[in-house]
Formats: sequence, C-alpha cells, structure tokens
Amino acid sequence: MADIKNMEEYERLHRQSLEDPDTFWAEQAKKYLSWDKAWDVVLRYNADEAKIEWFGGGVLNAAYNCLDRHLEKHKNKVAYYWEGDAPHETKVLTYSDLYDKVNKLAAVLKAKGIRKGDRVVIYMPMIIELPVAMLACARIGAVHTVVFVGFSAKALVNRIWDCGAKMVITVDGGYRAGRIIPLKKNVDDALKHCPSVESVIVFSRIGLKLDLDGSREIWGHEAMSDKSLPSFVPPEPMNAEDPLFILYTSASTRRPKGIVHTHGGYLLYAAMTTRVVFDLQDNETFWCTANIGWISGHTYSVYGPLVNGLTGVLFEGAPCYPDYGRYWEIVAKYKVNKFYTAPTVIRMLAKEDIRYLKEHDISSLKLLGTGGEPLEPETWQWYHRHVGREQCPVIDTYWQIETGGHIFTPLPGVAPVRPGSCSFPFFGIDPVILDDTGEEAKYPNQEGVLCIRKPWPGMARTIYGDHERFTESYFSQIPGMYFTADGATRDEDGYYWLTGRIDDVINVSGHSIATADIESALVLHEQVAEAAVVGCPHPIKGQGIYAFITLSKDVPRSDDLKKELTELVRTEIGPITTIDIIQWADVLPKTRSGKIIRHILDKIASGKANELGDTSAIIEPAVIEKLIKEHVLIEN
Amino acid sequence: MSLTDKKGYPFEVKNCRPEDYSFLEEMYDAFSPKGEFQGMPPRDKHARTKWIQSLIEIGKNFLAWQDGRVVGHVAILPDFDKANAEYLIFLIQTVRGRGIGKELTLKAIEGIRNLGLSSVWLTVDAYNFKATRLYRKIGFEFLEEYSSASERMMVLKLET
Repeated sequence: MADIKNMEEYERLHRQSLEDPDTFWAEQAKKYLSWDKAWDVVLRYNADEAKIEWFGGGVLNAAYNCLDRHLEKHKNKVAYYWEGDAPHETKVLTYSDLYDKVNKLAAVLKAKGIRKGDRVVIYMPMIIELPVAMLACARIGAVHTVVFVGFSAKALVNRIWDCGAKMVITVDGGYRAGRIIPLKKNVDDALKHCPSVESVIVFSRIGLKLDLDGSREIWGHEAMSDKSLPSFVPPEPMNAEDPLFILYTSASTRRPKGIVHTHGGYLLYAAMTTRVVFDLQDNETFWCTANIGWISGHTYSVYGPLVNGLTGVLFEGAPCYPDYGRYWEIVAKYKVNKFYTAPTVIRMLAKEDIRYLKEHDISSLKLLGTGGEPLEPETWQWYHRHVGREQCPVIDTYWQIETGGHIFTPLPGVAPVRPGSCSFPFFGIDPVILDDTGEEAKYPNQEGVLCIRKPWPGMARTIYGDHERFTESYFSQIPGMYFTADGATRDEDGYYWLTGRIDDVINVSGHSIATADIESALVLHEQVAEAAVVGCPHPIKGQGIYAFITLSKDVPRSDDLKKELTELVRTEIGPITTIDIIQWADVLPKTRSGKIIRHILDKIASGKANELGDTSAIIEPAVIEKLIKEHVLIEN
Repeated sequence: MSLTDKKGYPFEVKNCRPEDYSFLEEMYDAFSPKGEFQGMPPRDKHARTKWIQSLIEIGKNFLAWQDGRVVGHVAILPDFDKANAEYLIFLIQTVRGRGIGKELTLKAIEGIRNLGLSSVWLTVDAYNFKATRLYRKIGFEFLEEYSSASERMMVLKLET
C-alpha cells in the first residue's frame, strides 16, 4: 500500500508543505529521525545571503540514526547483500555486523587523531568498507568526502587540497569486469602533493603486497582487529546543520565545487524520499545501482535505506560482466523488489539480446526507478515492458547533487505517469519556470529555466570554503530562488518535462560534467591553442563529449595526437571524461569580441547544422561551413 | 563628466586612453568569477591579455572609474560593411546594480551613433537574467531568429 494514496492526498500534503513548512517538516523530522535534542526553529532562511538553516539547535547523529536505533528490533535484519565483481563472491551483512564494523573503524579513526569537523577523503570501490568508512566518519562527526574511483590522481589531489583532508581511506585495488584496477597507485601519486594528509588507512581488496609507508599508512583490517581499541564509540552529538559530507562536482584544473550536505536536513530528505518515492515496505529489498562515489549512491544506497532500516544491495562490478544478464541475475538472487538505475544502463541493456533478461526470474520486482537524466520514451517502453512486465510502475526521478534527493518524481499509484516526464514536485518543492526575461512562464509547454522558490531540507548549504561561489552559482540569477540551470516545461496537466542543461554542463551517462573543465585540461597541452567542448547525442551515454580543437601554428593534425589529447583528459580528470569525438578546427566560431558561439558548435556536433538559422550578422559564413563539412559522426 | 551612483558615490565614464590600459588589465585580473559568462573574461592570464589587447585594437572602449580604479568597461566592435557593432560590457561585482552599467551603455550608444552605425547587437547567456534585464531597459530586444537553449542574441536599432 502506497504511503501517499491518491492525487488528492498528494495535492493536500504538497500544499501544506509549502504553506506551512514548519508544521509539515517538523512532523516528518519526528517521524523519520531520532533526535538527542529537538530543534529550536524548523527553518531560518536568509535569501539574500543564501543562508539556509533547518532544525537549528537540534542535535542528532546520522550514524546513530542509520544503525544504533535499529538494533533493538532488527539487529539480525540484513542491511546489505554484497555482490562482488565475480559472481561467486558474496557477503551478507546484518545491521548488527554493520554496527560492529562501523564502531571498530570509528575507534581506529579516533586513535589516528581524527576529530569532529576533520575532513576524511574516501577513495574506494563498491565494497562493504566504503559505507562502513562513511558511517564511521559520521559517527565521530568527521566530514567524509567520497571521491569516485573513476577520478584520476590529479582530481584526487584537487579534492584533498580543497577540503584540507587529514586522512585518506582507500584500498590496494579493485575489480571491475574481471580487470584489476590498482587504486593505491593513484593515491600514492596524489599524496606526493598532499602534505595535509597525516594518515592513510588501506583496506586489502585484491591481496596486493604493498610496502606501506610506516610513517602514515596502516592496513585497515589489521587496525580494526586491534583488541585494545574499544568496540563501542559513542556517536558524536551533532548540530542538525553540521556538515555530514562534502561531495565534489567534476573539475581538474579549476577549483572543484565541494557541495556540503548536513546531518539533519539532508538525512531527513534522504530518508523521506527513499521511503515515499519507492514506496518501500520494511520487508522489501531495494537496490540502487549507482556507485556510492556519486550523490545517488550517498542518498539511495547508504543514508536513505539505512535510516529507514531497509535491506539494500551493493554491487562491486559492471552490468556487462560476466555477461549482460548480470543485473537480472542479482535481482533474481536477492529477490530485489524495488530497483533504481540510470537511463544509460537501461539503454545499454536494451541493446543486448533479450535472452539475457529472460534467463532470470525477476518476478520479485514491483517498482522500477530511474534518475540522472530524462528517460526517452522508447527506452522507457523497453524498461516498462521487458523488465517491469508491464506491471511495475516506472518512477522517473529528477534531482541534482545540490538538491540532496529527488525534487521531482511520480509517486507510485498517485497519478498515471507519462513516459519522459518526471511528473510532479516532491513535498516542499515550489517550482517555477522562468522565461528569457526572468518572468514566470505563462502558458502550458512554454520552455524556460527551472527554479525553486522555497528552501527544502535536503538542499546543499554551501560550497565548501567558498560561500560566495555558492551564492553566485545558485542564488544570484533570481534573488530568493534556487537556480537549477536545467530547462523545463510544464504541460496542461501540471506534468514537468526536463529539456536539458542551459549552461555549459553536459550529462554523460547521468553524470554532470562541466565542459569548461575538459577545455581547461585540453589547453594544458602545448600544441593546443584553443578548445571548445560541447555535448552530442550518444546512443548509450545520453550525451557524448565532442571537442573542437584548434592547434597551435604549424602543428600537424594526426590520430596519434587525438589519442594523446584524449589520454590527457583522462589523466587530468578521470576515465569518465573520455572524449568521444575530436574535430580539428582552423578557427572556432567567435564574435568580434572573442565570445565563442557555443550554440553553433552544439548544433554542428549534434548534426543539426540545418537548424542554425542565419548567423551571418555575427560571423563569417565560411568559418561555419568548413566546420559543418568536417563534422564527425559518432559510431554506434 | 562626474556622475553619482545609486549609493551616492561619485564615478566617471571616459574614453579608454592608451595610458589606461594597465588599469583595465587590473580590473580583469581581479574580476570574479572569470570565464562564467560565455567563457569571458578568459581565465588564463595570457589569453586574457591577448583578449583585452584585441578589444582595444579593433574596438572603441569606454571605462567607468571610481576611487581611482576601473570598475566597468564597455567595448563596441564595429563592422562598417554591415553598419552594425557588437557590444560587450563587464562591471566588477561590487558595483553592479548601481546605475554605472547604464551610464556606460549610454556613452557607448552615443559612440555608435557618432560612427554612423544603425544597430548594435550582443550575445548573452540565456540565464543571465540580471544582464538581460539591463539590456532590455536600455532598449535591446531579443532576436528570435538567433536563439538557443544557452545563448540569446539581442539587438538595439538606432534611429538614423
């Protein structure tokens, strides 16, 4: 039975959440979280300075809420089914097991001098020790910063520097699709440049014999089996507004953006969206396939399910290994009831032989979720028909790293869904679509930029160490509103449809990547004079990375140079920013003042040059004609 | 000509002279955030210097001065064949919303008229509402034939 039963109930509660947010959110905070001390004020908000405070004066601890309070009734309940990269490797972890591990690691952290407020960088693949490390930090009030293992050593340096991390928790290496990924080597390369890091905890995953630097490096399993350390570490009382974690958006040469989320508001929003959006019941198994290195993994693999005392799945490997049936095999093995993945995964699996799906009994599935980018109707249909057997609702969610959790979503059983639409705003979300002039859109289906008028508990509070950048990035465009930088329309019936970013961020496999970061990496090469990067349609990733590059004078163009530049970006940022296409350009289309006209490049890269219209007023037609002629098609 | 901004502080708008160059460069060095408005002003110091030099070379430039430093810059970049000019403006963050941009623009438009040009255009990030509001107030209008999800073109037709 759904938490929210019908449209009338949704509308009534949504209205209440906007008209009387104090009462609404106080009720939710009591329902979902355990507090050491109740808050003094539900919400304090200063729009001009983008100062947002939820449950000020309230005291709680996120790890306590995820673990301790479940022990009395559910200590033997499964917290995680863990599935290794190789199908035979599995582990089952109860709430009690998880609690023991978290306490033990928390004791190690304390023994290593980590205190409340210290920053700890976690660079680990999808193994049990990853959520353990996050929760151990939360338990002692340290701020964790998980860096996705697909990011390079340089990106790691950048993040360690920005947050001034005192500790790094990592592994010897990881497995992915049968291959070994030597992660400690990236950490070694990074730490040469990071004097702020006083200690490193290394967990053994692939059994490498490493010579650890005894002055600051220790093996995690050895440290955790130290009998002299306590097996219980009291959870640190945290103010609701204390930071729980920092999660960075991609950047290499530029300063990365460290998005800060809190113990109180974020945790509540994670808990409530997990429960309500997926309509989760206590006896159900939930699997969010996202890597924990991203916000989806933080919210829907760790904090949301654990606060609710639910059973989740963690999977170390890839959907294609040993074959394209792996996800369905896991669903069958653990009888997954609610499944949440990204459109890029669905596209990939939909392209493969249907037998991979048919080989497994996935009849346990009751609900299918998707998020990260809009799901185009044909992929939606495949998901609904073949995975959902036309019986499971498809929940297409929209949110961002900054929003903490879903801000638009259908709710199961509330209203019919429309393929490609993320349906309606979640509770507390007061959306508005603004036209070119910053005025509210007046007509149905009128395109504009999506903004949110009121604060909600899950929203980011600041950019670590740079509140001015936070205000500038999200609150300066329209005073008093959160600016999503996503285009959207609203139809006659109130359904919302996302149309894509309106700034220089592209969405590759559901991950937001700022094209300026890739451009900054490319121009580090001495033979590159200029680079402009845009998105292009990609059959699996949604958007691919298309780079227009002008070489320095007399540098010959070659495929080897293309490879070198692609590799450069992978080293600077990470493999997730692998360029799909490089097109050489004599010159980039610029106005006289030197502004690169990106929308011309967008259209050329997308093969839509015929939609360009007349641009002769601002640029020499010959420049564009040549670029169109040399456009490179993405290979299917 | 001495003017007063909305907070009551005096400022001046003047032609950019060769000896003002270092002050202009200082304004852009201190400018924050860099590269956020259609990639302008360039983040890289070398690229930024080249960019400023080219604006000076091919355009007509006006500066707003306050307390002995440059706080705003307008460039107009004429194309006599097409009888139009591109318009570009940057104001340092702390003086925005005080009427300085408007005065700079009025001065630039006067300059364009003096050159005998019939229209002036600009491109702007679609979501830079603060800027588009200022441009609209001055009389710029969106050019529907040229617009994309991320950029808009605006034109101001001058009476001849």
